[in-house]
Amino acid sequence: MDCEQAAVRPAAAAPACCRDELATRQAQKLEAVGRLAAGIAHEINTPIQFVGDNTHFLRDAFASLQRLLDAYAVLRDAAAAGQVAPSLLAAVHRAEAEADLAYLSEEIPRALEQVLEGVERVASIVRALKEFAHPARKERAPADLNQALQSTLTVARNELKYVAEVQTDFAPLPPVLCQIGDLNQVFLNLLVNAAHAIADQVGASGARGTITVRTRALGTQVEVAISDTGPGIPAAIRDRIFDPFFTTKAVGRGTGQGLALARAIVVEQHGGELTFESVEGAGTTFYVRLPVTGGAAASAQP
Amino acid sequence: MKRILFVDDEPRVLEGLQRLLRPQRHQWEMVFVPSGEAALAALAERPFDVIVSDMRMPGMDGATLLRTVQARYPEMVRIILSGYSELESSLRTLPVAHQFLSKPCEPQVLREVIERACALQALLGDAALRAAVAQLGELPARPQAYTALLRALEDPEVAMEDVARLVEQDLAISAKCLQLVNSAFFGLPRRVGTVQQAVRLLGLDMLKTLVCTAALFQTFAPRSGGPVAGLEGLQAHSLVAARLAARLLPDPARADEAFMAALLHDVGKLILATRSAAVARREGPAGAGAPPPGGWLAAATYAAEAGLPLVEAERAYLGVTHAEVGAYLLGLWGLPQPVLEAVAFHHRPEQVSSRAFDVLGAVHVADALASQALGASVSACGELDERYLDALGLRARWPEWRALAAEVAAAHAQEGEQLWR
Repeated sequence: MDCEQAAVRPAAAAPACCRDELATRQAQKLEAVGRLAAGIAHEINTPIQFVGDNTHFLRDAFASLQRLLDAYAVLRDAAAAGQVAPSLLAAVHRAEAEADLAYLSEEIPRALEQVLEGVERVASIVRALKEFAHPARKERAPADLNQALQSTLTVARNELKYVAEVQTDFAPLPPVLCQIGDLNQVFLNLLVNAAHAIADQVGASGARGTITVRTRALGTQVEVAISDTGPGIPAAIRDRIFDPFFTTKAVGRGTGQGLALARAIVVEQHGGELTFESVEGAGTTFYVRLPVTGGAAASAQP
Repeated sequence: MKRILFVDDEPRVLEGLQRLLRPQRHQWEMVFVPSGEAALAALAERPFDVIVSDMRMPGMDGATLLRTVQARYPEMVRIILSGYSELESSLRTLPVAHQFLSKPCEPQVLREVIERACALQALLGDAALRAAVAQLGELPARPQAYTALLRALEDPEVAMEDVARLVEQDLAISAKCLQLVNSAFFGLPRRVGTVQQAVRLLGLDMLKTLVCTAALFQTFAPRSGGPVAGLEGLQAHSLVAARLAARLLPDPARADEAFMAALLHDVGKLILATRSAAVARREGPAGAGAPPPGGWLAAATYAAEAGLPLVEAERAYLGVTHAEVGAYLLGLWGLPQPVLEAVAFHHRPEQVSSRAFDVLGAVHVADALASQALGASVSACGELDERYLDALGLRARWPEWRALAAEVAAAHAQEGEQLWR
């Protein structure tokens, strides 16, 4: 990750404050990856389990069908020779019964479909991971934010699905000049925060809330809105939530740096805005607004 | 037919299992449900023998489901099949599940685990055994310290210091733990004086084993302080067998289970020796030279004098064997399936359809080796099943194992370690 403020300075070395922030940001990213890794492994292990089970079933099913085909071949040869003994017919019937033909003809197509579905699930997770962990480049590049959000949702699916149903409402967006890897990090933070808020609200009741992700184009800006149906942010702490190290989460669940870094990435790095609306007892919406041209900070880059 | 309940919130996984296990439909009656709530409803309708559940599910999760099952249907075998493989170490010895399987799970492994679960369930759920155990009076509940520890360990972020503090609250159990930690098995370079140090050196998994073992021996330690009549050699036998069993298996996780199972394999003798007066035959078996009536001690003495296997005498006198009773108690305490199986079948390993030398095999062999090395007595009665050894192709290793047993027994004699005094 680079640091634009430092890049425009004549001095070669980044100031200490900037190095610290770089280190913090890197640590934050690693922490997010570590936390997600278990969930992603689960999302991959599940389809692999049923792909494997179905494939084993298909292998056994083929062996049964092969035995049946062998019986048919004998029958065909006998028919060609014009002498089909009743015992031969009986043997074919027996082979059909053993093969459990009615069951197989119903289940084989389904098993094949589900194998393909499982393979596609794994492939889409791997694709999303690749897109999410977009290598940090020095220069900005035009990116499709809808696609980036979709990838981030796939990567975070396991963090969200037990507490919330996720709804998306994506409007067509122009490409945005940005560092998409960093923005993915912001979206991930906001999504995980939303899931935590809902988890606090529903507790162990087993109920699920809703997380809504909307995008829209606003002239020279695009807007990403991430809403949760959690308890809302208490009025007393609303002006502190972007402060570094401010957190209401338990130790191990958050470091209090997520929103501070999100703001640094959106505002300082991309010349955008990060705001929120919250209603106690009803939920919170975070808005990320980004200039499609990459903002002032970008134009300052050499 | 054995009834098996599968629970998973992912319908594709259930369908896959259903197809995979269709060839077993003549041995097992299988029901597939998509949630913990649906599982409890199915259980309320008709009893099941085995439950195989996913861990993380929306609504009621696997741990909550299995805890409820444990409370309502303690005789069922509980298996977790989860995609969170990193949970395995923390869950392996949790009381909610007897066995932990990771997704993706090989079909042969899944089938074998379920088959073995059925065998264990058939033994522990046997009406005659349960009736006999019921006559022994109420079995000791899982000690508070052990339960509290297991509860604390369910939180994956729990601090080691907090866990150690929990254990330290029970002085008797911490003392026994430290005794075990300082035994030669662990080969620790210096004497460990606190549970905190023990946890740091051995990790939480081993702590669970130690606390459970300590709690068991604590529960059955005679109030008088002296050894139970007939069980004078039992401590030495159990300790030597435990150290041997752990050395027979290369996989450290299996070795830990073997250590625990061998340490506890004769716990049923403690139960019978202290409780069996109530079930003792009033009349000895009929016939010439018939043994005198009595409880476990009479059975053990008779077996030694007549040269009979102890388990046969136990069955004749009491209607149950120490292996079954021990496994039954440990099953109620929620110990993992490999440990239960090893305790239940340590005298007749051939009854379990396993093709591998695992925890059960190690305990069987270690029991026999320890009996030979220490000199067989009333309480140490391990006899080697040579056909079993041949079936696994392990006869060639016997001389090497005997040498190992002699070494461990000699080391033990020198240290004179004891589980209770």
